[in-house]
Amino acid sequence: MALSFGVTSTGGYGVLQSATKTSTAEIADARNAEGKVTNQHAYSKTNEVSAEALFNGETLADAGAELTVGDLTGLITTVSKSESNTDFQRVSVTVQKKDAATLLAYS
Amino acid sequence: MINDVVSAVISSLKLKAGLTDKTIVRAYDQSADVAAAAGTVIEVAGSSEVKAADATGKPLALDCNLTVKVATHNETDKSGATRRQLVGHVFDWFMALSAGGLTITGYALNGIVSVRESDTMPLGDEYISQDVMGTLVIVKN
Repeated sequence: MALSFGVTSTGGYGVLQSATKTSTAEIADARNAEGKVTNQHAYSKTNEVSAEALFNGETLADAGAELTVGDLTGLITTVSKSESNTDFQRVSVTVQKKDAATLLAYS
Repeated sequence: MINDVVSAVISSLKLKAGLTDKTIVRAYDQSADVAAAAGTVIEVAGSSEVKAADATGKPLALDCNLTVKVATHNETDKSGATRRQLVGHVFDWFMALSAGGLTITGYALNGIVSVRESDTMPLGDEYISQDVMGTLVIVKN
């Protein structure tokens, strides 16, 4: 059994501390007269990566820009930078791509 | 690494006004001659924990928890005035620390996130001690 350790994804901003990839699907259900689902049809899929990193001073793009984290290139839906008196500054970013959509960054 | 940090702390404490003539040793150093120390011994102990790691889990930054124990003899410092004064000096030393303020080979002091003091405690049969504790953030160069 091959186990994986650590953050192997690259990209995003700063020194990556964690990365989470999530895939969700939108599914249409068909129900019979009793309300039980008889058919499911997945008609759209969303891939999303959220990453947290130690901020290293690089310039951060705003939400709506295109960014690659790991194997996903998508649009930034949220980007935040946190500061604390007792910790390093951290950056969190979430990138999303739906289906095979053509990406058009905010302008 | 923590031993290097403790050594750097001891070296720096020895330069602090009010502590220059005091016996400052690392904890468990049994070579300190308590009698020659005029009934006053300052011990420094430290431990570290990972604050931020790289992709392999190795530390990029560590929290180093330091304890500076100020101990005075209960006969030569009956009122505790000497101990309180020394504790004040140590506390001031912690409060004056800032990034780059210690020389540690391969590492650097990035900041200090906590300074705190303990209550007075008996130490053995003849000594009374009070601790000043601080957490230093040490990063790899």
